[in-house]
Formats: sequence, C-alpha cells, structure tokens
Amino acid sequence: MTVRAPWAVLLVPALLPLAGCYEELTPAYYEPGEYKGEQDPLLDKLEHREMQDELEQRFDRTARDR
Amino acid sequence: MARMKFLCDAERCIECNACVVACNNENDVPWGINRRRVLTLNDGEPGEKSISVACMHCTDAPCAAVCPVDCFYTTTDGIVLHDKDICIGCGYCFYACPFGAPQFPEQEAFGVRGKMDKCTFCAGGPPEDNSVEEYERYGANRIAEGKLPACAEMCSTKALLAGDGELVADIYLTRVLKRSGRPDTWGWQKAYGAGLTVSGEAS
Repeated sequence: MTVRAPWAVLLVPALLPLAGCYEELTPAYYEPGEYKGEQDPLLDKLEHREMQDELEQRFDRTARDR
Repeated sequence: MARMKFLCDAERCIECNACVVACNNENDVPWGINRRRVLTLNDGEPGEKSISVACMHCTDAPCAAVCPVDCFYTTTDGIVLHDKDICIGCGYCFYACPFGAPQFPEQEAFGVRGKMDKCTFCAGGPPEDNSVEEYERYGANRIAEGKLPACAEMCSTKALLAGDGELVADIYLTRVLKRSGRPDTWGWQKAYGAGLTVSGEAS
C-alpha cells in the first residue's frame, strides 16, 4: 500500500486532462424542407397593412419617373 | 399581399454600376463579394444591353430546394432570406441558382468557403430588426424601415425596379407601350415562373 500511493498521486493528475475529452454525441437533426432557424421578427411586421401601404407609397415616390 | 420582385429594364440600364455601389455601401459588403453586379451582353457591339443582376427572390427558389440544411425561408411577401447560423457553406445553392446570386466570403483549403452571402432585398436576416448583429451579418434592413432596396432607389434612370410585382409590371408595361417593341423582361420568367405573364397573372 505504501508503495502504490505515489503511483496513485501521479495517476490522478494524468487522467484529469482526459476528463475534458468528452464529446456530445447527439447529432443535429433536421426535418427535410422545414426551416429550423431563428424566427425573423420582420415576418410579423410584414403582416400589418400599414407596413404594406408604407412600402407601396415608397415605391410610388421612388420608382416612378420624375 | 404584395409579392416583392426585381425587374431590370435593359432598355434603360446605362451600366453606371450605381446599383452595385449603393448595395455595397448600404450593406457594408466585404471586399470580394458583390451581391449585385451589372452584366453587359454583346459588349462593344451596336445594340449592346446591360442588366443589373442579383438574387431575384424566386417564387420557387432553387437555392432553397437544394439546401441540405434548409437554412432558407421566404417572407410573406416573397423575399428569400437565409440563416447564417444554419448555413454550412456547402455551395449547393451556388450551383442551383440560375443568376449566380450566392456568394462565399472565403476560399481556403478543403473547399472551405464560409457562410453564404446574398442579396436580402435589403431585408436583413433573422436577428432583431436593425440591430448591430443583423447589420454586421446580413446588412441593412430597409424594408423594416418602410424603404425599398437601395440599389433600385439609387437607380438614376429607374431601370432597376424593386417592389410589389403588380406595381413593377404596371410601370414596365406602360414603358413598353410608350416606346413600342417587345418586352424584354430578362430573368423574370425564370425567377417567377414560365406560366406567368408580365402582369404576374397566370397565363
């Protein structure tokens, strides 16, 4: 027992770095054809009629010949 | 609901590249990337035509169809956007796009290209509208401010039109009737469907 104790003292620090080698093995899973990303807040804004009117007015001001 | 579309009137485009500069300036696009560019057909010959090309925000976008990680989404008014957090830079969209719109910022060993970048119709991306994060990753979000794409608004001859497809078609038809000749809606049918007329109605 007295002979093995120093080995144990050396072995524990040697094994500690290996503890950080764990890797998450769960893969990212995607449903085909379905957007899985973050929701764009613009999508809600575009639903409002005021927003559509604003863009139409902007178009009239900027795209038509002066 | 509006259906946002681009249309470049080849009879009016004077190849000034103001749309390219406006896009790069508005979106702070990195060197080596051009979300929009001007192509000239039969350059130097009589009757040459120039057209301004970027992502056309196709009705049935082929880039979205081939994306293996489905990073594309389409807004209710037809703007095709993507999420750079999901993009793996595989380049499939680049091969699928008939307009050469997807751009990749890097060129490294083992085909590493970085996250895809393309025209967003000045509508930014998934982060909070007009936030610093959105601007740095996707560019300006003019749509959220009630503005239209900078390239079209800057066009001095009004060759490049961007907005609701019905209004764009209305303006273009008026021009064609006024100057006579055949309508030359370059890329329009490829982007928005072969079964669609210039007015956006099914033929």
